[in-house]
Amino acid sequence: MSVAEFYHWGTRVTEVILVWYFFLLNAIYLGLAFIAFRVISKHLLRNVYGGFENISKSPLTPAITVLVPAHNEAVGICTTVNNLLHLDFMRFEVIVINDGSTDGTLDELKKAFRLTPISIPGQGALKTEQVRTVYHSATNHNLVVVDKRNGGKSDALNAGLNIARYPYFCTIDADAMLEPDALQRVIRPVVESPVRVIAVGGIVRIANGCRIEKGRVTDVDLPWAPLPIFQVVEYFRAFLCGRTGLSSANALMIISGAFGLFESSLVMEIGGYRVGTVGEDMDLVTRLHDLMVKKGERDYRIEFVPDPVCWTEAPTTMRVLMRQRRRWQKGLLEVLADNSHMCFNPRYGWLGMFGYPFLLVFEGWGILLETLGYAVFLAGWWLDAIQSDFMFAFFICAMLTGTLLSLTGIMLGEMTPREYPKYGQWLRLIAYAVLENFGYRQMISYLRLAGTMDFLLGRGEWGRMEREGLTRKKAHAA
Amino acid sequence: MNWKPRSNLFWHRLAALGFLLLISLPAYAQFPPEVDIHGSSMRSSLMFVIYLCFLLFWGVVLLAIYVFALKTYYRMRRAYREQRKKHFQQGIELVLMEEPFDAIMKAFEPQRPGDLDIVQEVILDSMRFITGPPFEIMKKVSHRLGIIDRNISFLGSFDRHKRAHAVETLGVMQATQAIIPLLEMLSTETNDIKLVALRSLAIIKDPRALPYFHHTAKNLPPPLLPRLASIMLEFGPAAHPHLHKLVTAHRSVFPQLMLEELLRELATDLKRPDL
Repeated sequence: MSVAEFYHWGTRVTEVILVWYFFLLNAIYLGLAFIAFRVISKHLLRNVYGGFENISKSPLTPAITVLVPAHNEAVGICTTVNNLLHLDFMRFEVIVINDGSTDGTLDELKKAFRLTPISIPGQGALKTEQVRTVYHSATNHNLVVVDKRNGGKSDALNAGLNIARYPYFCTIDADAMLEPDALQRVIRPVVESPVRVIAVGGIVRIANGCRIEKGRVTDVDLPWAPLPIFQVVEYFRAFLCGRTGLSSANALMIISGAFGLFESSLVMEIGGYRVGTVGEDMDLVTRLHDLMVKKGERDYRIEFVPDPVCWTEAPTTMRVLMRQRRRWQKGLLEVLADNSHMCFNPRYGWLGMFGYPFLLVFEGWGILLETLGYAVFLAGWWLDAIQSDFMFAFFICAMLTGTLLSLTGIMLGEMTPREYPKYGQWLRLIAYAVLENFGYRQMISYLRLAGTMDFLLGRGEWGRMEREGLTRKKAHAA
Repeated sequence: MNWKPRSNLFWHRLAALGFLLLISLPAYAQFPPEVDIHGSSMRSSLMFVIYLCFLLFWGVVLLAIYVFALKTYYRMRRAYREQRKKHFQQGIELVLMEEPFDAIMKAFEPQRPGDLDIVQEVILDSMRFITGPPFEIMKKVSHRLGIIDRNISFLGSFDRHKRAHAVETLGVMQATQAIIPLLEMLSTETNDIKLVALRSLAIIKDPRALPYFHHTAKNLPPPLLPRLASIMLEFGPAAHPHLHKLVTAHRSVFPQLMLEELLRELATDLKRPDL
């Protein structure tokens, strides 16, 4: 075989592998979307006779600690805390952990909630950076603020866990807002499931563009800037198709750090959040799975609630989006590397046999294959080794598959409460579902590749999300 | 050579690798290569992609139309129901103003097909919040309009969501005539509908149903027992001896914190040796 023949053969082999990869990936996504459709339909029908009021008012419903780690969040922290203090749930406490902020976050809190120092506690069960003071609010009996030296998000959450009183805790980003009935909705799987539910995640929706009054999303709307709209479409696809589908097989490995509910005792048992990792939310969920399997307790679930429960601010600038996505990708690969023993391990059930390999192949390292795909196709086309008609047809195929998946996400979003009420908004979402194939997806692939390189080279910064602040957006909307 | 037997995990991984190689077989099957890649005959992979594009295109179009139709249908349905609801809500005002019963009945009279569902929704929404004589009047209206009998008949429906919704409705309406069918459901239904039935029985508050809660407890998975206890609390003091019995029989299921809460509710001494 001549060199030319070998070259052509190699190109064909790569081409077919890439087509298979593409076909498998999208077949799995479409399968997950189909499962999600069934799960969400059932869930919404069950909500009609959900008995949320009874759950919320019962003294036997487990109480919840809401942990809010805050680092330089002076712009929106008071709105967030106000929102949390007015949740419709019988027994809960809010613990804000000021993680060494330098922008006056603590002063804002002191002013708004009349904080008074109660104690300087000793070291709790979880080791953290030094806690300076613990404050109690004179206006709200269930608000506690912990002021500590900066140690990162995981460290802040551990400091909060040390003083949390209740059997379940919920974490929420300082820039996020919860729906009034969010705690009722996430605790329902815990109290009404025939098996032990150790963690629950909920949908995080993008608040950019929405009208916000007194810390609540009153009118659901789309932002005008394209970048957040692309993320709206992306969040629908990821949360409603991916996570709902994986959760139905108890193979969920990610509960968003922006909002999640966990059983406190189990988290304490695994030593709390791991400090120094980028993807602390995914790391925690994976370790919880690991703990339960190692304890031999197979009858447990990590659930995902497809009700919209949490609203957050999406990055509006490329710079912030780049940092965020690189961090996510690096975090994902770190967790996957730390838990390689789960891969194709039948002890972990669907998680080991499907959830982990799916994330490893398609979400983790798949980006290298995707990049290779772009490179091979471009090189092949340039060198005349790949027919341009094939390349064009493949591109159209990829675009249509992506659009189909995004449309499924949008449709599922339309089915859930707090949907976008106007036709115009819906048409814009559809338009962006098509447009994202021309640049946005490629850019996200590039950012994932950069995150992968960060992981491989052991570099990367923690990154910070710069906020406009949700209250300021209200002024724009008005 | 020091050969060690491999773990099961190794063979599973090997099988997975084999699977990945297998799916890439078509690529290797093309060896020796087609040198004439620009030949006139169309390649199978290209045909496959073109067919897939065709399918996907129609998938996208149909899904977009479906979502559009769904949205339009729900909007129109919601608007229509809101409009009809406003019409029937006048009946609630008549109840609160203690108008004659005939006038109230007339206000709730269904006029168009599908109105009975809307009347039921209006009555149900109001019954969640009103108490005393107005509640009794609403109950009488529901009975006269056949809403209660209709929902009792729905308890035998094939659609589980329809059954569950009927159970919920009967509970909110405190339909005492539904107690026996609801108790029967406790032994035949799935766990989630059992919970709805238990909740409805607790709203009806007939203490004679309490022993059946014990019977149900034997068949419920242990993680659901705290929920059962929580529903039993709705009965008030009548449930306390039964709750005590339930907690004593299944003590290990109740976390310490929950036990304390329960005891606080029961207003009993926390140091009781039997708990």
